[in-house]
Formats: sequence, structure tokens, C-alpha cells
Amino acid sequence: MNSAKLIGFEKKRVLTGILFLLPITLIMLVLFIIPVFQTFWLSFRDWNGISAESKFIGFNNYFALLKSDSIRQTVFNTLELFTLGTILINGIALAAAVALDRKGLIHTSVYKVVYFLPTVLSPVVVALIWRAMYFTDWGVIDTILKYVGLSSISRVWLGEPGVVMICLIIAYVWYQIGITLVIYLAGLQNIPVELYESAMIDGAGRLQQFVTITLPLLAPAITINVLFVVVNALKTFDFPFALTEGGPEYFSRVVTLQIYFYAFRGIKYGLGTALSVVYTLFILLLSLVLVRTLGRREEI
Amino acid sequence: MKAANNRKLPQELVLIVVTGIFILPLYYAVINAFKSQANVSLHPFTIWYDTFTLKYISDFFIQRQYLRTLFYSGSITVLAVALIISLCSLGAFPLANVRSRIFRAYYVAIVGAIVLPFEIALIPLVVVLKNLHLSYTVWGIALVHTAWNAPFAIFLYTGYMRTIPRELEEAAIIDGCGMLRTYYHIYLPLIKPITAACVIIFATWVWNDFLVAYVALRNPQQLTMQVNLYSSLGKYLQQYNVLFAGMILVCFPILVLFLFMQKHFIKGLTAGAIKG
Repeated sequence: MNSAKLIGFEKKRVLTGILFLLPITLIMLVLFIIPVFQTFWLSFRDWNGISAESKFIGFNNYFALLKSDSIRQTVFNTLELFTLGTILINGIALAAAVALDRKGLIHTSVYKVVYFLPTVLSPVVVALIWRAMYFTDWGVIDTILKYVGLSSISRVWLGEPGVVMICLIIAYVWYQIGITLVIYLAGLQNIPVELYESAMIDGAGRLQQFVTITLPLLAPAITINVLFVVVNALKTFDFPFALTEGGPEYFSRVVTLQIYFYAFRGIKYGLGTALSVVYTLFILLLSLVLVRTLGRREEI
Repeated sequence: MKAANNRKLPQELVLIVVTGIFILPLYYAVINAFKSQANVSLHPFTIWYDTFTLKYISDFFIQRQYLRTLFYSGSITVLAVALIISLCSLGAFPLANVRSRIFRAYYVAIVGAIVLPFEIALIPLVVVLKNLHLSYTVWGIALVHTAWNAPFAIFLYTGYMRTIPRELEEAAIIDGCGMLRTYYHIYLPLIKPITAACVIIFATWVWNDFLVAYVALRNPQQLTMQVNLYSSLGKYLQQYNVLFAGMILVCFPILVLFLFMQKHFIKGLTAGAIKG
């Protein structure tokens, strides 16, 4: 083949490739890409949701958003959910994975399935189960507290502003820990046993082995797990909605719920689209920073 | 390693206790679906001695029109998964095999799109669906799921296809195979493992979805299972055992799928995660 023919061949491949991508791209264009850009566009306009007319109002929606009562609490709740969630899920999953990654254990795969099971259940089901856990009086937590004689600390778990987010996060950790645990286990099983054996011969203790062998070699799994949990926590809607609907008032409302409330309860499209834009930029920026910093740590 | 072996029994005991506490919420939900509400509050943790009953399962089944919701959730899931699998594996083929700046840029955009939450498109999307006459339809919901799950599906497929040796495709080209035939006859059989993983992952996600169906399928005759379960909450707040029974019914189909395809699910997610 001469080079002109080769270039023609490659060009044809690119064109065919574009045809391959066309169907899925069309679906994404109509139901994903265009709506997202419409959100950007609408966030600078005054629109009532029904008429085709809307008026350009600059950054007014964004200023109104800053002045809204619930927004500070909402942002704080989201930060609390994803920072505490990330730390707890990763910390506990890593510890559990190390405990499960032993040759002597009889039922490692059974444990794996058990911890993974909640992840498969739907957010609505898990939320309804945890509603029953937190019920006053006959709920599981209160029943156990009664058994051990600690009824005095019992309260309306999902009804108190200072308590509700903690309760939500505990349930969320329970729900989401399985996948993180499984990824850590897969990472641990990739570490050659010889490394530990030679470290033991050199007289390294358990903790030293963990810090000098396990943690560095687990870096890719840590990167992925942190990213996974952060992104999932920032995207979550169904679970907090079905557990508390953001209540009491707005004390467990996260940003995704707030966007929904702006759209369907109270019909504040301007605030909803402005919040969507800010949130999108925040998530993209945060993922980029996480990929960069965690990725760099991996190379060392 | 010998030293660790000697300590394994107490460790195993600790693990069993911790796992027992972890599983308690599930145990509680399952056990109480077969008891009367009075027994739920009186003996929440005991196994039924003579109180076992299927009455509440059948209550939920009949009163909440289980079969009808099963049909709607099932249709949406099957349609969405079929679209995701076929269109995303097709789209991933050039991303993995054809060298061009267009495809490199496309891939970067796809990976970026994975992190975006659905809620940011909520407000315009409701209008878009109405204009396309797709709100209140199975197709509408399935297409929304397809569009929003496509980035992750394309990411998984592209990653997997890149591990297939390029020589295979080159040999196919020399034999005069076009791209479509190479994709269909050579790649489709080879990517079966990732297809199995995608089936179970996206079936679970679409089946478990609440929000998309909640905002787009408000027609009371057409409730998906999750929406139906959530709207049962008000009615059965004083009969939570019926809700527990409902949860078992709602989870049953996906749990069966999970138990059969458990290995693919975990492998697919971890492989995708580690490669990414």
C-alpha cells in the first residue's frame, strides 16, 4: 500500500467509527447534553417553566441563591455527607479488608457476599429498613437501648436537627461499604506474599509491614475508592429522599434534593438551575483535583 | 504466616460477631415480614415459633398490584439494558481501536460525564420529554436511563476492548473484514465477560432507580416497583410488616439475578475500577 492509500484507509476507518458512535451519541445529545446546556442557559434567565418566553437577568438567580435561607444548611449537609462518608467508608472497608485477607479464614467468600449484599438493594428498600431501625420506641435501636438499660439516650432519631445527619451517614456507610471493601480485597490479593515474608525476615512488625508494603501498593485501589465514594455521595438522591425527604425542615437536605425541591415543590426554576450549575462545576473541579493529587501520590 | 494461623480462631470469632451486627438490619426486615404487627413490636428479633404467616406477602402482592409494577419495572429494565449493551459496545469499538484525535477527545469527555449527577438536567429534561411525547412512557424512562448510564458503559467497554490484542483486528482487516463484521464476529464473542458484568450492573441500577421513574412516570396506573414501594409508606406506616413483605417482593427478582451472576458483578466493577 502506498501512503496515499493508507491515509484514505485511515480516513474511512474514522468515518465508520463516527457512524458506530452515532446512535448512542444521539440519545445522549437529546437527553443528557442538550438538557445540561439548557440548564446553564436557563440559569441566567427568568423563566416560569411553562411559556417559551424567558428574560435575560444576568447573575440575578445566583445572587438570589446566596440569599436563600436553606442553602447554607444544604451545602453544609452535602459536605458533611461526602467527607464523613469518604473517611468512614474507606477507613472501615480497609480495616475489614485487611482482616478478611487471611489465608486461614474459612469463609472469606461468604463474608464478601454478606458485606456486598446491601449494595445490591435499592435505595428505597434500604431507606425503609433504616426508617424502621430508627423508629422511636419499637425501632431496633430503641429496642436494643431498652435491653441494655440506656433508654435515656433514646430520641426521635430522624427528627432532631443535630442528630439526623449523623443517623443518615451511619445508614449510608452501611449501605455503600460493600463495593469499597471488595475493591480493597482485590487490591490486597494482588500484593505478592513474598514481600511480607522477606519483610518478616528483616524483622518488620505488623504495623511497619502495613505502612511500608500494604499502603503504597494499595495506592491505585485507594485512588479509585476515594473517587468512587466521593462521586457517589455527591450524586446520591434516592436514599436521603426516601429516608428523611430532607427533613426535619431542611436539616438533612443535600444539594441534589434541594435542586429537586426547587424544581417540583415551590417551582423556583431560576434557583434550581443556578444551583445545578454551581454544583456541576464543583463536582468537576473536585474530581479533577482528586485525580491529580491521588494520581501523583501513586507515582511516588 | 504460621504465627497468623495460630491466631485465626479468635479472629474468626470477632469477624462472625461483627458480621452478625452488620447483617442485623436485613435479618430484622426479613424475619418481620412473616409476623403480625403486634409480634413485630413485642418480639422484634425472634424467629417465628408458631406465628409464621404468608398473609402479609399476599396482602402487598394483591393490594399494591405487584404483577403490574413487576411488568413496568421489568419492561423498563430490559429495554434500557438492551439499549445500553448494544449501543455502547458498538460505540466503544472505534474508541478502543481507531487512532484519531476525535476519538481521544470523545473518550475524555465521556470519562468526565461519568461524575455528573442526573439532577442537574432535571428541570429542562421534564420539558424535553414532554415535547418528545415521551413522558409517561416506558420508552421515555428507558431512554433517559440509557443516556445517563452510557458514559460508564462506554468507559467499561473501551477499557476491556483495549486489552484485546490489536493483531486480531489487523488479521481481520487483511482477510477483508469490514469494521462492522470485525465488531460483530470477532469482538462481540470476546467481550462476553464485560457484557455479563454490564448486564448485571445496569440491570441493578435501572431496577433500583427511584428518581427518574418518580419524576417522569407519575401516572398512577404505571408505577415502577420502587415508586410503588415508596408510595406504600404512607398507607402502611402502622403495618410495617406489610412494608417488609413488600421489600422482599421488590428485591426478589434482582436478588435472584445477583446470586446467579454475583461473580460477574464484582469482577466487572473491580476490573473497571482498577483499570480506570
